[in-house]
Amino acid sequence: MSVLSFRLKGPLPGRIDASSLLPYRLAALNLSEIAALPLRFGRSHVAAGDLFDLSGSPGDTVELEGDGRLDFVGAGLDGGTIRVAGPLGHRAGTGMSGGTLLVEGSAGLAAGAAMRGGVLYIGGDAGCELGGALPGERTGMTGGRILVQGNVGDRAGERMRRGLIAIGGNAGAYAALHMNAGSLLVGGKPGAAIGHGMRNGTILLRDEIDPLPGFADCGLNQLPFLSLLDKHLFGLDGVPPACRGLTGRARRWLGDRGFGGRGELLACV
Amino acid sequence: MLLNGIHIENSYAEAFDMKATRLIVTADTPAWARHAGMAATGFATSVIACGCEAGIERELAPDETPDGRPGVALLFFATGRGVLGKQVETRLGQCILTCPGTACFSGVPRGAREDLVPMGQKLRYFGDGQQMSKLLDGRRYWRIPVMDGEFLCEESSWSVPAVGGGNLLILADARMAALEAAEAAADAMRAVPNVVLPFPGGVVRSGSKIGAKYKGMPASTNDAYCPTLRGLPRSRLPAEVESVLEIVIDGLSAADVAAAMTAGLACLIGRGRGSGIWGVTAGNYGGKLGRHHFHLHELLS
Repeated sequence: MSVLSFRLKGPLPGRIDASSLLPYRLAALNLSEIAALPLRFGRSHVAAGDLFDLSGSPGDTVELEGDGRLDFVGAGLDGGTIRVAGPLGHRAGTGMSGGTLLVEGSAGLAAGAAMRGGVLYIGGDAGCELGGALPGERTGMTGGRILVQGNVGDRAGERMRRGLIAIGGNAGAYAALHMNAGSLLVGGKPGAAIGHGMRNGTILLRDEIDPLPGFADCGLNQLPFLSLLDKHLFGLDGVPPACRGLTGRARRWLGDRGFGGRGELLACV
Repeated sequence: MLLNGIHIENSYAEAFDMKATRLIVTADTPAWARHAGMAATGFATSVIACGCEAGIERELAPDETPDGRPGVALLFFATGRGVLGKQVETRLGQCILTCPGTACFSGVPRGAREDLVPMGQKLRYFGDGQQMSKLLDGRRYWRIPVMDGEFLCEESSWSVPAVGGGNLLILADARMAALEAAEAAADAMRAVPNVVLPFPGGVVRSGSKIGAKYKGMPASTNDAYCPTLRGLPRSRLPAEVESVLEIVIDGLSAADVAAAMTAGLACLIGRGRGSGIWGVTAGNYGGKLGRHHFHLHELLS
C-alpha cells in the first residue's frame, strides 16, 4: 500500500477546489506531474505543488493536511482512501461512489451530498446539508455511509433515498427533510422539524421527542430489525457510540402524514 | 460383504440433481422456531406429490443467527429453481409468516440473478403498502406489520445445486428391530451437515419403484422388498427378513449425501447382527435415471 502525502506549505491564499486529488487519478501520475496539477482557485488555478509539499508515492491512499478553505476534497471519489488531518471546507465527498474519506476534523457545508457509495467519516462536526441533495436535484444520498462524531447543521439527509447517516452529536433543524428512504441516526438531540415532508425511511433517535403534527404516534414497539441494524453497526468502524445499542423497545411515529408519507421516527431509549 | 454379521449388499443408491435452498428461521424461543420449521417443512417428503422435499437441517444457537435469536436451519429441495421458488413462497407465507415472533433469512451465499428464490420480495405485498425495507450490507430486508409486531424477512434467497435421493434400505428380522435400527441410523445421519431426511422421523416404510400396472400411477410399491411378498420370484428378500425400512437423504452435494450414508452405515454396522439387522442395501433404478451413484462397498472402503 503506497501513501501519497500532501503537507500544506503555508496558509491557503483562498478557497481551493481540491476535487482532483483522488487516489486513483493520482496513481497514474508521477510526483512532478502531481505537483504541476492545477487546482481551481477563484477564477484561476494554482499548481498543487505551490500549496503542498508532496511526499510518498501515488497509490491507493492519499494523506492530506486539512484546512477550512479546502473545498471538494474527495468529491467524486470512487475508490481508495483519503485521510485528512484537520478540518475541511465545503462539499467534502460530494457525489462519491466508493472508497473512504476519513476526516479527523470538521467538515463544512454539504459534506457527502448526493453520495452514492463508499464511506465518509467525519471526526468533528459537519455543516448544513450533510448527505443532502445537490442544488436543484430531487434526490439526495443514494448509498454509502456517513459517520459523524460531532454535531451537524441543518437539513442533514435531505431527500435521502438509500444509505446510512449516523450522527453522534446533535442535529440541526429539518433533518431528513423530504426523506425518501434510508436511515438517519441521531445520537444526540435532534433539531426542530425533524422529518418534515418525509415519505419513507427511518429516523432513529435516542430520546423521545415531540415531533411535527404530521407524525402519528404508534406507541412503544419491539422491532426485530433493530437488533439486525445494531449488529450491522457493530461490525462497522467509526460508528459514533451514541448510535450503538439500538435494542429493545422503541416509540414509533409514522409520517409525515401531511405529505402522504409513511416513514418512521423511532425513539430507541 | 459381511461386516459385524450384517450383509452389505453390493448395490448402490441412485441420486438425482436437484435445486436447493436454505432458510434460517428465528423466533423468541427455540420451541417457536421449531414450530415454524416443522410447519414449513411439513408435507414435503417426496417431490412425487409434495412439490419439494424439505426438513430441519439443525437447530441454531442465538449466536449463529442473523438477529441473535434462537432459530432453525431449513433445507428445501426441488427439481428446479422455478418450483423451488413457488414452494418456498407458499410455505414461507403460510407457515413462517403466520408463526408468532418469527423472522426469516436466507441461509445461502448471495447467488446469481437467475438463481433467485423470492422471499420477502413477494411476501412484502402482504403489508398492503405499510411494509418497509432496509438495505444492510447489500442485503435487503422487509419489515411487514403483523398483529404481534413486525415480521422481518430477507428479500430473497438463492438456489444452489443439490443432490436428492440418496438412500439406505435396512433389512431386519423383525419390524421393531428395523424401526430401532432406522431410528438410530437416522439420528447418526442427521448429525451430518448440509443434509435432511425428508420423511417422517427420517424413515420411509413405503419405498417405491417407478411405474405400476395401473395407468396414471407414476410410482408404486417396491414389491421386491415387501416381506409379505417374499415368496414371489421377483422378491429380493431372504426368508429371514421380515421388515425393511428406508432412509432417504437429500444433501447440498454428493459428498454430503455420501457422508450421511456412510454415517448411517457405520451406525448400523456398529449395532451388529445381534440387534436384528440382517443386512443393508440401497435403491436404484438401474443407473439410467440419476447421475449420482453411491456404492455401499465404496462408501465403506
